Amino acid sequence: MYLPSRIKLKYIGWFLAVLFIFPVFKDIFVHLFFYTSKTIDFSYRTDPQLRDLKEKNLRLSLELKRLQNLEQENIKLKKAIGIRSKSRVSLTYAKIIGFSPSTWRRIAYISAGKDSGIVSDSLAIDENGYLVGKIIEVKDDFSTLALLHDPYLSLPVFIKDKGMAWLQGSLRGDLALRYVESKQKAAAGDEVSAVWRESGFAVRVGELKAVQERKDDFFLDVRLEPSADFNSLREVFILD
Amino acid sequence: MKPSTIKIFSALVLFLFLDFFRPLHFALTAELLFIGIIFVSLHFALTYSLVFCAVFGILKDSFSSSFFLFHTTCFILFTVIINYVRTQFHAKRALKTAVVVLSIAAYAILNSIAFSAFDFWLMFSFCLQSFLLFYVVDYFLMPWVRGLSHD
Repeated sequence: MYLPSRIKLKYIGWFLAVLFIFPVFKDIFVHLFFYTSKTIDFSYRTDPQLRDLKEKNLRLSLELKRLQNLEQENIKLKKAIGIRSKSRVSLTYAKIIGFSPSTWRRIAYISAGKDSGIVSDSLAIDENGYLVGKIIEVKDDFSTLALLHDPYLSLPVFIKDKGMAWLQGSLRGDLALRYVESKQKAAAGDEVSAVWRESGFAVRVGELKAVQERKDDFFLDVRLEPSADFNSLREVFILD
Repeated sequence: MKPSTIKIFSALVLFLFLDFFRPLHFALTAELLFIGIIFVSLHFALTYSLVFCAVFGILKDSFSSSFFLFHTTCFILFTVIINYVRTQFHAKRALKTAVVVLSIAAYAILNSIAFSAFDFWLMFSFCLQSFLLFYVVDYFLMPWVRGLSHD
């Protein structure tokens, strides 16, 4: 009968240890290889002209999205329920100056506060127009932004044209959508958006990843994959 | 002020900054300041480490949107317990590993309860990363603080 030698057992032990430890450090390796270059703050990144162009670009893409949404919506119904429509949305640029040092919170501190006109509960989007979180506290010259993965974040959202749901932050991976009924017929791949106040702007949050029925529960178990990339997030735009 | 005090203080300030700026975003789940606090509690006198725990606990609490002085209380509690265990038992190496493992696990559990956010994978990742990082910190920081070299 073949018996592995002690040396072989040692190597197998090392191999198993690496296999066991690797998943824990996978995110760090990925971050080091792919995102470090993006997060290094070169001077051109803070160039005001570039920032303005980014802002204009984002505003235009949001405007385009809004027009596409308006095309699909029933205008008569909108009028009937008296939704006011703002002509354009205003954006405030802010840099992320730090994060909560606690692993159990997903909070970012941003460089815009009351002095920039930021108000509590405003939505924050990234340069692609995807929702990254919600302002939870505003100070004179900085604000606290709860990212989508913060366990304390909750937000009303829309699943395509299938009605409302309640977004609940979770510490990592997919987010949970609460209070989704089976009659809403939500399916994997459906786009989820948050609407910014009365403006009618639909800000993309992500898309449904899994929809499952629960035993003895009135509501469905719905998982949402956020569209924003949180690994290279260094600047945000606040909707107001 | 002793040079070792200044070195420990600057190391803890650096850890707090790294926790705040998060150069690896949330890929690194370990909290460096907590690792530094365990290091101080294991190697220095109780009064000395209590002062560091109070100062850095308050600093951390002011940044982390936690409820009233949660981290300060945690740090002080851990320091007192670690110091008590140190004075009662003398099996140095095994004790050190046991204290580190138990402190990290207890801290993860306390945080999960305090923030009502349970995630098994996050806790596992936090414990393993913190444990390995503690030994890295211990290996490099101790000789520097004591003014020794590895050679």
